[in-house]
Amino acid sequence: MSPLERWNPTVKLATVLVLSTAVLLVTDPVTPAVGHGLAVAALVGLGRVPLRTVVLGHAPFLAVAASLLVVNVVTRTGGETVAVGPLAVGADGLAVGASLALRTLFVGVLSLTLVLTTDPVRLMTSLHEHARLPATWTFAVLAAHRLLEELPATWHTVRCAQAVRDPRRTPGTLPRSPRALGAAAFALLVAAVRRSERLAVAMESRGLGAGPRTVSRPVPLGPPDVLAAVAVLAVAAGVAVLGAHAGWLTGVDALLR
Amino acid sequence: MREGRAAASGPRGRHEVQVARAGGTGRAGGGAVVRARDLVVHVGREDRRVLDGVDLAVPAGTALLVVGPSGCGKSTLARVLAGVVPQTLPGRVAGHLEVAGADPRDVPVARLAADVALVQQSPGDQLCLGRVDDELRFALENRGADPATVDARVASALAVAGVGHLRDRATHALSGGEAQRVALAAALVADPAVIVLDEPTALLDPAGAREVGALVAGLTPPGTDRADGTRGACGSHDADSGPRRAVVLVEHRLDELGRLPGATLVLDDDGRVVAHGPTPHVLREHAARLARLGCWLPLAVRLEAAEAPGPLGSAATGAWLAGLAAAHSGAGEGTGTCEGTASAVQATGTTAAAGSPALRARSFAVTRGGTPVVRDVDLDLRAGEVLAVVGPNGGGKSTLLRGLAGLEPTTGHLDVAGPAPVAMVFQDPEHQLLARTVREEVAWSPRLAGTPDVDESVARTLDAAGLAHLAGANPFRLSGGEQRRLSLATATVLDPAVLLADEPTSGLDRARALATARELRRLADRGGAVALVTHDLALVARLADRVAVVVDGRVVAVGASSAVLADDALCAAARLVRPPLVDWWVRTGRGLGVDLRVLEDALDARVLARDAAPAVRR
Repeated sequence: MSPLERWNPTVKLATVLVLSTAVLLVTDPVTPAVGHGLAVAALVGLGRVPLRTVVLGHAPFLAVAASLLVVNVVTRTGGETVAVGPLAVGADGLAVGASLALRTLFVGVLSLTLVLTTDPVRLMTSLHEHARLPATWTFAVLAAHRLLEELPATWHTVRCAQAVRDPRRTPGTLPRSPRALGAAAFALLVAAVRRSERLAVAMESRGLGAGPRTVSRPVPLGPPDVLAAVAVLAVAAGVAVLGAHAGWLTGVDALLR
Repeated sequence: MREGRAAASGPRGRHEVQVARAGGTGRAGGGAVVRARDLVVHVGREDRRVLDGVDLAVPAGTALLVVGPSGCGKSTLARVLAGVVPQTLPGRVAGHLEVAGADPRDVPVARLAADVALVQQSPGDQLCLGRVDDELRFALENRGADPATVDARVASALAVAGVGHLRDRATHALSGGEAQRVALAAALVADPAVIVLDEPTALLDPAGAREVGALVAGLTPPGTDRADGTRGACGSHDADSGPRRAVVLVEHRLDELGRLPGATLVLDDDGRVVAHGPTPHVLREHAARLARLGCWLPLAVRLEAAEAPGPLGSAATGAWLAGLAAAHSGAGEGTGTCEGTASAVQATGTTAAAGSPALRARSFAVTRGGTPVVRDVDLDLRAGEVLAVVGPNGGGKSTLLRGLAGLEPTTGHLDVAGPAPVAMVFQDPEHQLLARTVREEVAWSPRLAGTPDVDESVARTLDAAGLAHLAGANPFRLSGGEQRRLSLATATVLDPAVLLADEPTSGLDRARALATARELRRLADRGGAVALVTHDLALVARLADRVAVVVDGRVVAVGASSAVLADDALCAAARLVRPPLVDWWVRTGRGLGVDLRVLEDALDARVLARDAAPAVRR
């Protein structure tokens, strides 16, 4: 297991939540950019995740980041005029937009870190052990996770199954009309309800919720886990202090200008 | 080892009814772990009565087989014993009920689970966690097991189920048979006093069904019955230290089990007890009644009920079977047809094979995300023929059908005759539902096609499918069997030139499976081309003109049914395990000139002829 995988999942989750919240207070582009770089380095170096996976994992966050950038550039015209290729845009909009975009990427890499280096069962066991969440709750989340993983395949099957009922259909395509998608969504809902019903029966008949349970593979929580969290937060604080001294760090007030 | 024998005389044949133990089980009063008296169960929000006055008793260390037609309440019985009905699923349970010393209506399901394990039909639905060992540990942890013992108990339960090598595998990557054996291991790991199994082989390929069937048959070791007091010579379990487990098994596919439980309970359509007693006795005495109810019977029982001279494998029986088939085919087409048999299922023979292609695929591939998942397909589907598509779970059969139906991205050539695109019946009927009533559901495709006289053809189709009385009902509220009939009706109402059907008979009882087969055959006889995916090789032998074998995304063989079924190497590669009668036919019967379809019908007719006796009232 890589160091990031060994890190206690509850402590890791808490650290990620603190960092994600802290970066909300920052509106300059440099600070989230530094954070993003450090997070990617940690994910590749300490998480031993292939760079390619990290890059591909950026896709959904890049889309959100790009739209945030564009919206801010278009709506905020204050500040000096900066030439971006053939376009002239306001510096304020560019700075705030870039900051929000980079913040999105930073939070994106943090969530990638959580998803790519955390075994779901270890996370739920740890949340039960260390965060005192009830087992019925944590295992329901695990089961829901499995259900969610299967939903895309079921959605496709349902759309095929309904499309074939139309004798005038065009081979090779599935209907995209709101009516067709609505009917498929309803059938998917029914399928999901039936499936979750069977899953609930399965979990109950495995004895979930019978009373006090034991944990055969406890997830360790020791001083190194806490130290790691302290170290990460110290680095984050260091970046902020550095930014304040160098003068690039700005807070929420910048948005109101 | 003391075993009940279907045939008291002669050497033990391969296919005779082997049971764990004979006698005593139904009446053993005091020691019963599972006991019900006058059990009446209503289920669902409609408060439908599914079990009516059921009495049963299962002593420790014995097994009870529950058989009956689709919709007779077998599954409900399994759920009632595990407390799932009425606690998790809506229902009302009346009467006396005791399972492992508790009333499953009062004890929460999860707590009851310490003593009562439930194994369900669908392998995918009962594994809750991502990894095999997590799944088993989960079952132990929930029961508060000592963490120090967990690893050893997990290992031993996996070993008993024969899946020790799967310990570190992801549960979603298991085949159906593997997943079902893991589910059994997860049920066994906590050493429950009672194991309830609800059709554990229904959705598996033939080899997977055999493996799970053998495992289930071994759950109650032979020779631990206290009635005989002797230890089994070949029992792999230690009768002294081993648990005295009770097993309740709901199952259709009796030939796959190999060794049947010692006692059998038969339910009828209304959820009433037809018979309850030692298995050989019940199956023999009630063979005709069971056949009429639509249940599958083990071949040994069918042979005996048809008054064969001995078990399958003896020369005398072989000659007798050959004579039976010859006499039946000589009797002419018009006679001997009996309601509930499959006489109309017979293929029209070689003329069908000469039909023109209704669907032609060349260098055909079905792609997903740009990569082919089914490839190099050269396949003709001819007018007037039924083509069976067989192969292991997860081999790409369903994907191939969806590709042929024009529902997936494909490459290569695909020509379909006729103006309308192909019709298809999906595995889960609920995925195909679009309308609010059964009538509207059947009218859906004709309306879109602009067919004249929609109402008339809908009425005719509803009648033929036996759904006329449900025309105004909500399709989602129908029973599983009714939904299957509805989805077949919606696909056939336009008389499609090509019909593709994905496992249209899985989980159905024999009568309903044969009724579906008749409907498919009827469509082919009217000039349609039919392809069906199925795991039921007896159905293949009986219904299909040709067979296509799909393994790992390729069509590895296409040929006449008899040639494909007779190919031992091919069958092994495709995990096809021949049912006993098909196996006999391949090895012996073919050489004697026996037509397997005629023989099946002749056997059915003889079994049902016993029904003429006044023993049956109804």
